[in-house]
Amino acid sequence: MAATPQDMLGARLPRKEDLRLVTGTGKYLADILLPGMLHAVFVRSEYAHARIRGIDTSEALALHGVVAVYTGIDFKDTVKPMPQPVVQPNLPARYPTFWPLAIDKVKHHGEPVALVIARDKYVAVDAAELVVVDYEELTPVLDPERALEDGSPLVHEEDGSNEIFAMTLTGGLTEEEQQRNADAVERIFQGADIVVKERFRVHRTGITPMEPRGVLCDWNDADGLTAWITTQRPHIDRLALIDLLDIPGEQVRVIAPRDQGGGFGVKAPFYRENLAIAYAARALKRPVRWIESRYESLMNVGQERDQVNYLEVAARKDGKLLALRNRGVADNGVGTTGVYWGFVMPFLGAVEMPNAYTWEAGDVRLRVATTNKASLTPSRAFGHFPTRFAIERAVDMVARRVGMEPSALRRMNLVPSLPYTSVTNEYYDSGDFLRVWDNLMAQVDLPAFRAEQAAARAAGRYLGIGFGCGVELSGVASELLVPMENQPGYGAATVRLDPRGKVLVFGGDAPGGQGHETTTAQVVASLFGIQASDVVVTTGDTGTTPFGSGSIGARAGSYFVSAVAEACGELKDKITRILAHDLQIEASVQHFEFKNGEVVYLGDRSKRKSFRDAVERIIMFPINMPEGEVGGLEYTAFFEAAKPMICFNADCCIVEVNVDTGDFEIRRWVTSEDVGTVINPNIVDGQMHGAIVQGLSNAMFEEFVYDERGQQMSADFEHYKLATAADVPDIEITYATTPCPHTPLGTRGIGEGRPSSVPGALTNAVCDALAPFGIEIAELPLRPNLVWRKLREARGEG
Amino acid sequence: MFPARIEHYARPRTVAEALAALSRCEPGEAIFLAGGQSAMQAIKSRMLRPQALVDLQAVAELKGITLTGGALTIGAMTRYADIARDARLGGAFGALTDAASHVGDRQVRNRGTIGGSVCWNYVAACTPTAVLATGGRMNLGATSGATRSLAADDFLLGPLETARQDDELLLSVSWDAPAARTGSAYAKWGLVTDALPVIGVGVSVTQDASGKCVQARVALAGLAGGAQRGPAAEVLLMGSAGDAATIDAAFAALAAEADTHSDLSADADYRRQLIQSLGREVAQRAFDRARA
Repeated sequence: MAATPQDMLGARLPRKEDLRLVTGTGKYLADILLPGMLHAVFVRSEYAHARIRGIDTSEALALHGVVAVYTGIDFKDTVKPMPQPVVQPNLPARYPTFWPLAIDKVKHHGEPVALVIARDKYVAVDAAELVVVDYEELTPVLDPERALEDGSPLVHEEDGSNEIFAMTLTGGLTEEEQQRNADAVERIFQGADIVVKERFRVHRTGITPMEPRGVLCDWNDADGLTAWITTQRPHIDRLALIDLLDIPGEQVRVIAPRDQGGGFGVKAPFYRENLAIAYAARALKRPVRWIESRYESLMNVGQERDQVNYLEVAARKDGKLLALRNRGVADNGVGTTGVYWGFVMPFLGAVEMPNAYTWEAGDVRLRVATTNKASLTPSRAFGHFPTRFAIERAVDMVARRVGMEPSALRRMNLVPSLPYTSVTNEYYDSGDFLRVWDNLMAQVDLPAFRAEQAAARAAGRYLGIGFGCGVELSGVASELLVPMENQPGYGAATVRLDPRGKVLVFGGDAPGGQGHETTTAQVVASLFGIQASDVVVTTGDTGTTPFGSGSIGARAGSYFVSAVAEACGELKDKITRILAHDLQIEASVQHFEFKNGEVVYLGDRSKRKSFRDAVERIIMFPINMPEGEVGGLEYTAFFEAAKPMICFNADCCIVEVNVDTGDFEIRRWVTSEDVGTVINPNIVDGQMHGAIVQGLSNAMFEEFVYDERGQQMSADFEHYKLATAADVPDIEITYATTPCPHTPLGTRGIGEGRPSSVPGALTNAVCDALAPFGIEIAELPLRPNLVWRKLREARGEG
Repeated sequence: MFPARIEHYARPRTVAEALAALSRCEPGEAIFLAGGQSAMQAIKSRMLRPQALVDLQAVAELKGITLTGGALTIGAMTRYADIARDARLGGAFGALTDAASHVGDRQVRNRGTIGGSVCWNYVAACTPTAVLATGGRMNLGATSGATRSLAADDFLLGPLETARQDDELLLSVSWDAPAARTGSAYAKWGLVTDALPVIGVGVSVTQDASGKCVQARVALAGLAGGAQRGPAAEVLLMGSAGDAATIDAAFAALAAEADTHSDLSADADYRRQLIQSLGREVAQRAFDRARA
């Protein structure tokens, strides 16, 4: 079924990327080979916390084939330490100072201590084994709550405290104002019919992209540094390399390979390994490559969540939610990761805590503690997986207390109309939460389910239903991104028309498999009335693309395609201005139609020109032009919405629990989504499937585990368990969309926050099934072992 | 994941060539490569640093499943996938197909071998447990030309430990013709589908004409001591009618005395629960197969 160009927006086109990806002809970082390339291996700390008494590299250096061995001290006077403004948020925090390799002290198991460069990877690994580090083990800091107590050992001694960041979202700029607001919240709690109070614990889990990190740096004195990096943010990495290595800006080019095996946030920070490799390439004047092993990856990145929330909710007995009060404590890990430092995720998680519900007031506070663990790194559902779990569970607890259906209580408390500003001052721009909710409920026959549940219980079987929903960021506006990360939020795209009627699009973000080539091509094809196959999309090369803050926060469907659409609009204006001149008619762009490869004058359809000829005339034959026009067809547009934008989704889950073993089976998962205008339903479905599976896998299986000495116990896939296809249910995705009024096409960015409503919905379903036992679960991971233990406790067997 | 230097690699085509290749190496310095699903990971992570690899994949005489008058011989290099899909292996050998069907994923099942698994004898593994439950025998050949046959009970010594000597090659695993009315089964529980067993249970039973259980073997996977027999359950099953109450009691007794441990996957108490719930299901299936 060939879609006509006008149907392109919303067409289920197969992805342009897929043929090369599924036939093994994609080109990833590890496929790029340069003559004379050297191979790097990091020697990593065996301890969570230890003083380095000495490092002996002599045996490693003596090994045939070894080119260089660096230790921390080699960088101390040659690269600038982090923090530097480009990799540091605009938030007040105790930023630890660090260099690419540990100096004097190691602060987590897996921290880089030495860097070996050799002619091949085998020799490099051999040499890494010969580097002898003399450690004096120190007491590790592993529990974030205890880390904040007086007398705790310190991760970063110079800071005098393990509290890297703390904040209150209670409102008010002074302590007095905040106290006044906190008192107002307290008065609501005093007068409330119902108060639910619980400690919610979410474990350390996150994301494991199929392709780990990697970097290849090439230096020559004429052009400077070219760095191929597995990254979501090549333009930010470029600035970081310029600033930290003190290289003139014209001498640094960063290229994110076109094919990347996923990012999901892990490839958004600026990493110390990249800086070390760039330094080595410059020092050695040879290409140097580092490809991360899975073991290193699981020890160093993708670790997120890991938070305790002491949440109280005040409600009326009719189910109206009144106020929330939360005291969050997040485990930051070591905090030596550029751009995010760890605490930026829990910060946003606290902001997003109120979710889609109306509250009269909120008192939300957060403390973040450094520990001797890997730094938190962004992992899709940036920051708010723990807070969303807490709030969605607490809402169900309120419903149980007041004797209401949780779904009815949710609907009653959903923000009824937008725009709306939450009690934590988050702006929700547009959409229709109630319509999304009603669409979800239309997929689920709740009375029939309750009847089935009652019959099953009578037969000794335990079914449960659970709900959850989520307001998610659709792109990250400058208004949020500048204070949060010191970076702009706008989307940028260059659209270049080719004299042969093809279109080249250049974007500075760097996707990792989301299908941007396809969605962008569909947008361009629909606007110019051509085929998606006529459009080529280039991303990720700072040498050819306009500045972009990166593939983060669902920016593609919100900001990037909007910039593309605006650039196309400018070019259509110019094409029609010149075509009107050539046709000797008074007309502007709205009098023309771009359709089926032609530009047609609507006033007289015989006046038309093929798209290719119209374009070629302007690029190649710029004579007899209208007054003031020059030739050429290329435009760079920057799109910035005035306010932050959102998307919204809701989940329903049905489970059956085996009350003998605690095993549970997900029998149904159905969703309702407001993703705005859909560009390609295949791609949107895929985003939702992937995000929901990630949410389930995080909630049930995945867990980064440290032992009492801070040793990482989960650094392989035997121990860090990922869901397989057989472990997840069929997922029924349904849509109730409202076009976004703030983007030119009505599109919304999707996928980033989507996993976060999953653990609440799942756990709510399990607790609904176990309601006869009075079981409320407030911790993750949700595993049969835990459910079984709760059942034993409920039966008085524990 | 880059191995340490490996000095020699041999790809023999016969058992004689394989043993000859082994005899050219210092004792303990060569590793036989079967399907490579465990050994290659260990070599790449440098947990193992062999001087030589003797790759058995081209040795045709080590492959295949033979049933002669009810007696079963499975060549050491026979893949899980071949065992899983052999329609002749029901009933008394049901535990073997149960186990082979859910080892790892498809890729693993099409490369991994029965011999590789029992010789590796990983702490939590399905195949050694199923072989132990069904009373298989390990047939070994040595570089000297000598051969010997060991019961699984004597061969499987503990995690990553077997009675195989450095100069020996496992040739096959074999079973005598089972008595009439024998059935076996195996199942495991893991967090994700087809993961390594947190607990695995294998059961083999024989009933006499009256339905009385006259032979019972129970084996467990997932304990810190590796694949092991469960005599506490066996004694209760023996002489019973294979009824639900006896099965419950047998696995309650086994769970109570099993030396379970807590780790990332499950706590010690939950492992006991799994022994009971899985044991019940597996024993029931074994009796059903005995009766069929």
